[in-house]
Amino acid sequence: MDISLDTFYEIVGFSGDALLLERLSEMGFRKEKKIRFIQKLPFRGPLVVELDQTHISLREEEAQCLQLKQLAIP
Amino acid sequence: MSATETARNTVALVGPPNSGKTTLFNWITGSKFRTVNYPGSTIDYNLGRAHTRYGADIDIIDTPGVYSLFPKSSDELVTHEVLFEKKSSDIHHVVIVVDATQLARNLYLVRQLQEAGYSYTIALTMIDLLRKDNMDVNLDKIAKIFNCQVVGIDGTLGGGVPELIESLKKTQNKNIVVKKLEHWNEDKRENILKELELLTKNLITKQKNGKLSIFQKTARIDKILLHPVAGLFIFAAVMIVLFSSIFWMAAPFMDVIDGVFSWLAEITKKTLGDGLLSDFLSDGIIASFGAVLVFVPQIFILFFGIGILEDSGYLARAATLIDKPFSKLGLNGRSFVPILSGFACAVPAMMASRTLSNKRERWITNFIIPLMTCSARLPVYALLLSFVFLGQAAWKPGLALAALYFGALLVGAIAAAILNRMLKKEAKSFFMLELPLYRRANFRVVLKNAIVKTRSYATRAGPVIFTLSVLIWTLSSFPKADAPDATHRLEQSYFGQMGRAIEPVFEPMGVDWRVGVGLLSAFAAREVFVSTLSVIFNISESSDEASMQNSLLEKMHNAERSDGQKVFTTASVTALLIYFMIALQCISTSAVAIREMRSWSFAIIQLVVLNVVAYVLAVGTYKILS
Ligand SMILES: Nc1nc2c(ncn2[C@@H]2O[C@H](COP(=O)(O)OP(=O)(O)OP(=O)(O)O)[C@@H](O)[C@H]2O)c(=O)[nH]1
Ligand SMILES: [Mg+2]
Repeated sequence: MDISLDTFYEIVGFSGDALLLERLSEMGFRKEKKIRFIQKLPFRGPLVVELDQTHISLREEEAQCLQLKQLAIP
Repeated sequence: MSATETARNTVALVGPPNSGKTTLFNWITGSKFRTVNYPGSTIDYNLGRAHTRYGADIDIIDTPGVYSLFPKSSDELVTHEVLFEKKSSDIHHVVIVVDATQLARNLYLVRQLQEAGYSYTIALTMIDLLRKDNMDVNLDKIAKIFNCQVVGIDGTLGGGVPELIESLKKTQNKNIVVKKLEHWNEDKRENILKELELLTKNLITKQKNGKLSIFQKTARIDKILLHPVAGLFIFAAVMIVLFSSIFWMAAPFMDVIDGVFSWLAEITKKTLGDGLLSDFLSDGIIASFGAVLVFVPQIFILFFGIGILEDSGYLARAATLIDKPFSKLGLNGRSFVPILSGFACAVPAMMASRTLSNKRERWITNFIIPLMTCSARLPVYALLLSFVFLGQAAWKPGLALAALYFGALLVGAIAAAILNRMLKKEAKSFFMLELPLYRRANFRVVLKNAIVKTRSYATRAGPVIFTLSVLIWTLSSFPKADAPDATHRLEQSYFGQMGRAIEPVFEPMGVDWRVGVGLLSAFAAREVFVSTLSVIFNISESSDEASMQNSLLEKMHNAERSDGQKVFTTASVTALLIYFMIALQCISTSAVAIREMRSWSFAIIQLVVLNVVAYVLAVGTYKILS
């Protein structure tokens, strides 16, 4: 997944498997939320996302359910 | 239903994973259930009663953590069943346990329980973390918004627990009607999340950038521990330190225990003089208990080490680091915790796999768990390795033991890879793991937990060893034949007659029926192999030898098959080691497999496959080496 670490993204929408989307909302991912990727594990392993004050590991496929817009670097 | 039963108030603690439900449950009931800094530590519900000091007649149910009332894994299903499958009159009220540092996200569940029709109280945990940073949360406002009682809980010291009980006393045991939820579509989910965020916006008084210091610390640590390169190295180092410390740290303690049991055996022998009973007690019973108990220090260190990892929050990181390689084998990062606990015992390990949402991944995980080197194998390995390397440098058996550990891992990986090819892919698998905040492990709690678990290891095999030893001793001592030597007497005993019937099965592994009986008895518990051998060889070998040192090892050296060949050779003992490394010889494991997988066929396939593969490889090893 082509994202850069430590910069903020805004979630603008969702796409993908319905079950994954449901669990993503249940964990607190919603539109307009600003998130940040903290780490990316090698060989397309999980990405670690900062959401509010917690870290959540998402597989690449799970992270791809989030449609993201990069926010200008402040 | 009797009058007293209807009058009982039953309250369920429900909340997202790792929000502090079990901690709260322990405070309320005075019980000591394990609390772990990992989402998914409770995997079954527990029923308790409010401690008498609160003067409240309330039953409390602790439940596994859930993100929603739409269950996606077996542990979440348990909570769902508690809430909706039991007679709804059973639970008249729910305490929703909400992590105050995750307010907006965690309150999502409140909306769902509201819609289900439950009356509820909100317990806001982790209040201490806010206060530490001079933040506070406005409990009254939350109470107004959700129209319910709200109590702040400090799970570290038990603050707020009496207030919670007081508010629960006021809840009435009226018959409530609850219903399962209809599907929530994306719009509904979005709207509720958004609404909750707006509602909670000003509930927490913040300072500076409003971030918790413990979260900032966690973020800094995760930069290192989850680093794509450094993180993997640290992970490897942590595992190496954990497993090597089991050996070097335990060694001096093991020597002491060993010494005590040798001394006991000697005393017994001196007191009782020569004779069958004296031999049975000293070389049979006492030596067998010694063989098992000598591993108490190792097991304690393993539990203690895992406990530190659990409590600190590292296990969730380890699961993240290993997810990718595991997924290539059809496993999931969430398989890591069950597999790691498999090194202690397969029974709790299989239960821990409930947090895997995908059935196929759970199938593979549970299939390979018995391949991990569990604590019950250690006494067997120790006996067999000390036979092979008798009188040689200490590093040799050490290296061989490490090889057995890695060998088992390798076999597990191969098995998983094969299963991954064979089983057809079905539902979506997901990982999505919330990483808990790092905490300094609570030394006292970890220590206590390790002691409790070690005690259960020490007492588990005891009765089995004793009963089987007595049984085997009796069966092999009678009827008293008047054959000239012990070996022939044993062959004519009840046991010998039965044993010879099964000999053809074990002959290809290079051993005789006596070892075969040992292998069969190991199905009661693997450690029993050692006690069975010492009882049998005690009877068949001892009275002929006038030697002072009647140790089991020596008897094993002298033991001969009926064709005059030695029973224990490097080849046959290596074959036995291979067999123990792979075989599933544990009734409790199979019983748990049936229950957890809700399938007899899984348990039978697992039992047969692991034993047949173990047997074939053991026979092959023997044929090559001999
Ligand atoms: N600082 C602080 N830590 C807490 C509090 N309550 C719980 N903890 C810690 O949070 C972690 C999780 O606690 P548990 O009680 O096991 O959480 P749980 O809700 O039962 O978790 P699951 O069973 O996995 O759903 C443990 O490390 C606890 O020590 C609290 O009020 N304050
Ligand atoms: Mg719990």
